[in-house]
Formats: sequence, C-alpha cells, structure tokens
Amino acid sequence: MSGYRGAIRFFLIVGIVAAGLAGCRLAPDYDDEIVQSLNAATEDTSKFFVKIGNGTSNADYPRREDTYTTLIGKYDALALRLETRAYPKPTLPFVGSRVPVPEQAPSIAPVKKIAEALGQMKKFDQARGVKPLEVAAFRKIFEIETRNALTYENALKRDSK
Amino acid sequence: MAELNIGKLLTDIENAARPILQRDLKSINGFSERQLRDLAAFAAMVATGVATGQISKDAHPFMLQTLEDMTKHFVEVLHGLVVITIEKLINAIIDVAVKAIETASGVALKVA
Repeated sequence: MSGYRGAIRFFLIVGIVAAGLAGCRLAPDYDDEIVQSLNAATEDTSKFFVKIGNGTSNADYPRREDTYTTLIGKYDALALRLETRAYPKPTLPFVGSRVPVPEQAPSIAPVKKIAEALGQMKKFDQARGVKPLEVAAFRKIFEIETRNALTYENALKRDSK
Repeated sequence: MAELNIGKLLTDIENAARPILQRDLKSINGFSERQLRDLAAFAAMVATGVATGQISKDAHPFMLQTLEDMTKHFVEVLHGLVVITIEKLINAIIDVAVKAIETASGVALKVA
C-alpha cells in the first residue's frame, strides 16, 4: 500500500515539475503586429465614420469607393492573419478534459464581422446612399466588434502586474 | 531531503492566485458592462430606425442578424478571457509547487 502511495506521489511530483517546466498554454501567444494593425485599421475606420456621419448619397459614392475597398481589405487581411496564427492544444491532460478551450481565437469572428458590415454599407451606399441613423448603427457595430477583438488580443499579453 | 511544508505551500498558492483573480475579474467586469451597454444601445437604435423608417427595410435583416452575431461574439470573447485567466492561475500554482519541490529536494529544476 505504501509502495502504491509512493508511486502516486512520485508521478504527481514528476507531472507538476514537467508541467511547470513546459508551461501550460490554453490560448495563442500575444502578437504585437496584429494589435498594431488592428489599432491602425480602427483609426482609419473611425475617421471614415466621422466623415460620413451625416449620411451619404449614392451620387458621390465613387469618391468613397477606394476607402471602402482599402478598409475591407485591411480587415480581411487581419482575419486571415488571425486564422493562420498557431493555436495551442492543452498540454495537461486534466485541463483538456475539464476546461472547454475555444477551438480558435474569439477575436477572428468580430474582425470578420467588421469587414462584412463595411461590405454591406458599401452596397447600400452604391445603390441608394446610407441614412444618418444607418451610419450610426454601422458605427456601433464597428465599435462593439473592435472592442471584442482588441480586448481579447490585449489580454493575450498575460500581464501579471 | 526536507519535508514539503503543505501549510506554507497552500498559503503561497493562495497568494499567487489572489492578485490574478482580482485583476482579471475586474477587467472582465469592466469589459462586460461596456459591451452590454453598447449592445443595448445598438438594439435601441435599430428599434427606433425600424419604427421610424430611418433604417430602410432592406437593412433590417442585416441589422437583426448582426445583433445576434455580436451577442454571440461577446460571449465567446468572455469565454476566451476566462480561459486566459485559468491558464495564468494554472501556471502560477504550478510555479509555486515546483519551487516548493525545489526547496524540499534541494535540486534546481528550472533554469532562470
């Protein structure tokens, strides 16, 4: 019996030491370039929303077409980068079965949604212009989803201070 | 080989885990409050727009689907933040345990 307990204690200690030396990862590494790109896209998109705050007319849509294309391209590229970033599998067996770890970074869907919303707004702008309250609603989508994505990406810094 | 002091180990684990929990829960709480306020503001905006015609009919399906999507994304991000906190807690606790084993065994296991 004491031999059995000794073996359990031995394997427990070996397990803790091995895990401690390896470090447990349940989320991807922080990527400063992703955060910088997201911040830059956020600034450009905010400026665009300020410019069109009073609504748009489809008569002058061609003046905005390039801005839409550039912004959508930035968010599409960001989503691709987020999707291709390495995502860890839990290394500790008891964690894998007890903690429901997301299958991919939860910042991907918000970034895709921003690109989708800008694409939808572009279509309305081209077809009939965008009303002021519609611009406000699209802006709110952009703000909510940006906060979703940035909060998660910044949390990956794992600051302990 | 010295004996592991279980009482001290538990105190050290508690001291390592407490600041992580306090800080992370505070920031998760702040994030949640802000997002819930904005989701409510968006819902109100869409309701007004639909009722008054300030949001055209062709935009209704997109706005309603987006409200659903954003709520789902918010919950997924919350889940992600909690998982990051759990990861920090596991590593902090294991770190304390490894140090205790090092002290008791007199063997340095981690390279600084």
